[in-house]
Amino acid sequence: MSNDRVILLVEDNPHDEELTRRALKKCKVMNPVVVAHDGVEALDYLFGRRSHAGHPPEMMPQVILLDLKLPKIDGLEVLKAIRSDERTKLFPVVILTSSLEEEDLIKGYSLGANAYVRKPVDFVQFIESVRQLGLFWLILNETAPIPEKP
Amino acid sequence: VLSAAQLLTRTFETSILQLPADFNRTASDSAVHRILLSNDTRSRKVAELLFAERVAKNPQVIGLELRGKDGKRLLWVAGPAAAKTAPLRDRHVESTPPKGLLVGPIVADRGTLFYEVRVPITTARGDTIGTLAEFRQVSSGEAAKLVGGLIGSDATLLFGNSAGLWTDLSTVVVGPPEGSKGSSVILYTAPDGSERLGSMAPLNLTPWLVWVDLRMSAILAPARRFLRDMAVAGLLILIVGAVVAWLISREITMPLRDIALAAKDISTGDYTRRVIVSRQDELGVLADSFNSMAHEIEGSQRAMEGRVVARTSELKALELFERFFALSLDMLCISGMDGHFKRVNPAFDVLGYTRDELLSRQFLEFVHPDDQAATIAEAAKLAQGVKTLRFENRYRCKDGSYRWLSWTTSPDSSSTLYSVGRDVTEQRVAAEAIRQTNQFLEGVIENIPHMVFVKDAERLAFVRVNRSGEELLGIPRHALLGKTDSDFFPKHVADSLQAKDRETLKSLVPLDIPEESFQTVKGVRLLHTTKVPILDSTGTPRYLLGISEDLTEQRQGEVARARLATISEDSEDAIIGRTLDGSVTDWNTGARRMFGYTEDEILGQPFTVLFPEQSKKEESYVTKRLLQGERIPHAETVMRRKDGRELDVSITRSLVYDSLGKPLGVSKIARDITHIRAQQNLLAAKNAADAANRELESFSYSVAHDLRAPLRSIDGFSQTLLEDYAEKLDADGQKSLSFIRESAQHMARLIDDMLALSRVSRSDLHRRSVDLSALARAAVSRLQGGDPERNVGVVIQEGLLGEGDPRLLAVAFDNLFGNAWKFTAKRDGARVEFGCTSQDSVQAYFVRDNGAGFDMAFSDKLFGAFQRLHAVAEFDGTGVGLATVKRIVSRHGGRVWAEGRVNHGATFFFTLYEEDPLA
Repeated sequence: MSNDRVILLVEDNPHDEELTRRALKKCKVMNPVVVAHDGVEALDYLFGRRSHAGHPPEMMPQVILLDLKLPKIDGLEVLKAIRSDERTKLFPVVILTSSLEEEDLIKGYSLGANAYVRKPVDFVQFIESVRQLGLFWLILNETAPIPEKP
Repeated sequence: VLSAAQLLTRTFETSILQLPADFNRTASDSAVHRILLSNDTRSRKVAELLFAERVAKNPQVIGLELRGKDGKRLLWVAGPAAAKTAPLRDRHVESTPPKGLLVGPIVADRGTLFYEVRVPITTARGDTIGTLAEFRQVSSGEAAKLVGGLIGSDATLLFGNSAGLWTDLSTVVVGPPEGSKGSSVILYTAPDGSERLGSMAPLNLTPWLVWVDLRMSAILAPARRFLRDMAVAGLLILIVGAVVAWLISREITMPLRDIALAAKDISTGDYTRRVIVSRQDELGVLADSFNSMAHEIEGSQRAMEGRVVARTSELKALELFERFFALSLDMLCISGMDGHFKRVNPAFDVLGYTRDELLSRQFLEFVHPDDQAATIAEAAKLAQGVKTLRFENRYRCKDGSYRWLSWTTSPDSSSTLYSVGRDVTEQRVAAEAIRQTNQFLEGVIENIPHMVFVKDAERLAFVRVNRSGEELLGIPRHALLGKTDSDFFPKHVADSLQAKDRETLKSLVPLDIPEESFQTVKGVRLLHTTKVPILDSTGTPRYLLGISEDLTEQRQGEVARARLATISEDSEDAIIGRTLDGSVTDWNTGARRMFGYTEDEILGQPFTVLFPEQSKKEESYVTKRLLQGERIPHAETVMRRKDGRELDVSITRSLVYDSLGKPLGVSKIARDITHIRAQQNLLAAKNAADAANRELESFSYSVAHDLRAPLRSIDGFSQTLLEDYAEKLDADGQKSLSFIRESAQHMARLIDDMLALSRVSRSDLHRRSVDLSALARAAVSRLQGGDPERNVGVVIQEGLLGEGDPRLLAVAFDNLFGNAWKFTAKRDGARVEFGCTSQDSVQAYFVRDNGAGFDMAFSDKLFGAFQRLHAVAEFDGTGVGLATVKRIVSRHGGRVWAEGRVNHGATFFFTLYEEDPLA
C-alpha cells in the first residue's frame, strides 16, 4: 500500500536536510518532503497558521521526522505541542537526531515519540536507517484517520 | 505717797510679767499635754519629774497642780513648804481654766501666805485642754525686812486683797483704814494715836492692792522748823508793837497786852488765836491788822505745810525707786519716744558702755542690724500703747560682740517707755547648742538607710521612726506614732513582734533577728533587725530601739547571681570576662573545654594569649569601639587554644558596668564554629562541583549534537561523491575520499567514547550486590555476537559477587573485555580470563588475556584519556576505554592497575573499595 502523503522533515541543518532527502531518494521513498527549519515553522505547518493557513487535510504528514536541537522551539517542545492538540496528537513522530543521550531518549519516549532514531555519521548506515524507517512508517504502518476539521 | 504707790505697782507689775516665763515653759511641756490627752502612766511619770524639778528649784513654790478641762485635779506635786499647808490638797479650785495668766488673791492658811498662779494649757490649734496651777509663798521674812530697809522705818508697805487680807510680806496685819479705797491720799489717825498719810493702788494683772503710808510727824518735821522761824518773826513784830504802844498811850497798853498775849499764843503754834477788837482807834486798827496778819500767817502756814508734805513724800518715793533701780539685776531703763534712753540702771554695764555713751545715741544704733526692723515694729506698737512682752533682740556691746536681751516694756500716757531687759544670751546660746545637737542627731537618725524605730517600753507604741522606716513600712510617720504593731499587722504577726520586744526589754540584752519577713505595702520584705533596750539612770528599760536592714534586694541579687552563675557555668559556649586592661577575670566550664586552660591557669593572665597574632589587633580595636559606646554585633574571628590549635569562633563582646554605670571590663561569649566552618567549606565545594557538573552536562549535550553534524556531512557527501561521481574519480581520489570518511567516523567514535566517559562521571552511583560473573559473561557474549568468527577461549570464575553499580560496572566490563578481545585478535589460541585474587586482604578482580601485552615502563599512561600504547593501524581504539574503567572503579572507591609484558599478555586488576567506604 502506497500513498503520496507528505513527510514533514523538521531539520535546521541544510546539510542534514540534503542528506536526508538523498537517503529517502536512495530508498525509493517518493512521498513529497516538506521541510520546516525550526520548531515554530513546524507547528505553523501542522496547525495551519501564518504562511501555512488554509492547508487541506491531505497536506497533513504521513510521518514527522523531528530533530531535537532546533532554533526557537526545540524538538521536545514541538512534540509536546503535537501530542496535546486533538488534530495532531495521533500523528506518527520519529525523533531523528545526533544525540544518543539517555536523557533525550527518555524525554522523547515519555512525550509520546513513536520511534527514536540516531543519525549515524556513517552515511551508509544512515541510508539503511532511513530505508527501514520508510518501510515501516510509509508502507507497513496504518496511520490513524485524519480527523475532520472542527 | 500717791506717786510712790504708783511707782511701786509699776515695778511689781513688770516683775510679775517676767515671772511666769519658765512657768509657761512647764505648762507647754509635751508630757503635760500627753497627760491631758491620754493620761498614760509614762507621761505622768515624766511630768511628775518635771514638776518635782521645778518645785525643787523654786523654794517659794509650795506645789504644782495640773487640772483637767473640767477642773479635776490630775496631778499634784508638793514642795518642801507644803508641809505647813497640808489642807491645800483639799482646796476648792476654780472649775474652768483661765483665759490667760492669772494671779490669784493672797491667801493665808495657818500662818502661811500664798497665792495661786494659773495658766491655761492650750494645744497648737488653740484648744484649751487644762490648767496648770502653782501655789507660791508670798514671801519670806527676809523679803519683808529688805523692803522695810528700802523704804525706811517711817513708812509702811502693805500688800493686800480687795477681800481685806493684808500683809507686810511676813505676817497678816491690820489693813489700811476704812475709806482709803478709792481716794488717792488720806490722812488718818493710826490705832497708836499717830497721824499717818497713806495711799492705796491696785496692782495690775493681779487682784492685789498695794498700800503705802507714812507717819505724819515724819513728814511735818521740816515744816515745824519753818514755823519756828516764822514765830521769831512774829515776836519781833510784837516787840515793835509794844514799844509803839508804850510810847503812844498807857491806854492802849491793855489791848496791846492782849495782842502780845495773842502773838505769844501764835508763837506757840496757836494760829487760831485772835484779839478782841473793841476800839475804833489806832489800837483797833492794830488789833485788826494783827488779826488779819495772824490769819494770813495761818493760811500761808497751812499752804506751806501741804507743799512740804507733798514734796517730802515725792522725794521719799523717788529715793525708794532709785534704790530698786540701782539694785536690779535686770536692765531697767526709761526711754522716750525719740528713741533715746533717758535713764539706764547699772545693770546696763554688761554692755560695756558708759552711761553717757548710752544716752547720747539712739538705742536703735545698738541693735543688731538683723533685729532692727523687728525692733522698730515693736516700738511702733508701743507708741500705740501696746505693751511689749519678752521681745528679744541683740545689742552690740562695746567690744563688738552681741548679747541677746529680752525686753518687757510698757509705755505711759506721756510716751515714756519703762523697760526691763534681761540678758538671755546664755539661754539663747544654750538653746542654740541644744537645737544644733538635736538637729545633728535628727539628721543622723533620719538619714540612716535602715529603718530606725523607738517604742515606749510600756505600751510598745511607736514614739520615733525615721524616714527609711516610713518608706519601708509604707506608713507615714504621723500615722505610726502612738500606734502599736497591732494597728498595722495581723494579730499573729503583731503578737510575735511584740513577744520579741518584751523579751528584749526583759532580758536587757540586745536581740539580733538575722531574718524576718514581713508583708508591707511594698510586698514581702526580708529584714535583719536588732532590738536594743534603752535604760534610764535607774536601769529600768524605758524604750526599745529597733534597727532593721532591708535584705530583700540583696537576697534577690544573690539568687539572681546564683542563677546566672549556674547558667554561665552550664553553657556550652565559652563565657569569658576580662578587665579593661586585659586580664581575665571570669572563665566558665565552656571556656575550659573550648580553650583547654583551667581557671587557675588563665585567671589574671592577659586575655591576648587566647588570640593568635592576626586577631590581637582586631580585639583591641573592638574594645576601643565598645568604650566609645558602640554596640558590636557578634563577629567571627580566630582564637587559639592552649595547645596552639586555632579555632574559628563566633564571638559576642559587651561592656560590663559597675553599679554606677562605669565600665569595668569586657565580657565575651565565644562559640566554636570550626565544624560549622568546615561544613560551610564542604557545601561551597559541593556547590562549585555541582555548577561545574551542570556546565559539563550542557557541554556534553552540545558535543553530542553539534560536533557530530559536520562529521555526518563530511561522511555523507564523501559517500555521495564516491557513489555518484565514481567514474569521474581515479583510484587515488576514491582512496582519499575513503580516508576522509574513516577520519570522520573515527572522530565520531572519539566523541561517543568521550561522552561515555563523561556520562560515567556524571551519573549517580547506585551501589548494590552485583553478580560480577554474570556481568563478565554478558560482556563476552556481546563481543562474540559482534565478531562471531573469533574463537577465543574464555574462562570465567563463577559466583563472584561484588557491591557496585551494575550499569557502570557493565560499561567497565565492556571496556576491559573489549580490550582483551581486541589485543588477542592477532594471536592463535587467544584466551581471556576473569577471576578474583586476594591482595593485601582486599578482594581484587582481574581480567587477563594472553594478547599483545604492554611495556610496564608505560603502565602509568595506560589509564589516561586518549593515551594509547599501540598505533591505530595496529589496534583500533580511541584511548578512552581504560580511562573510563579507571573512572568507574574510582567512583566505587576502588583501585585499578595492570601488569603486562609485551607479547605476553596483560592483566587488569580492580577492587571495588579499598577502605571501608563508610570510614
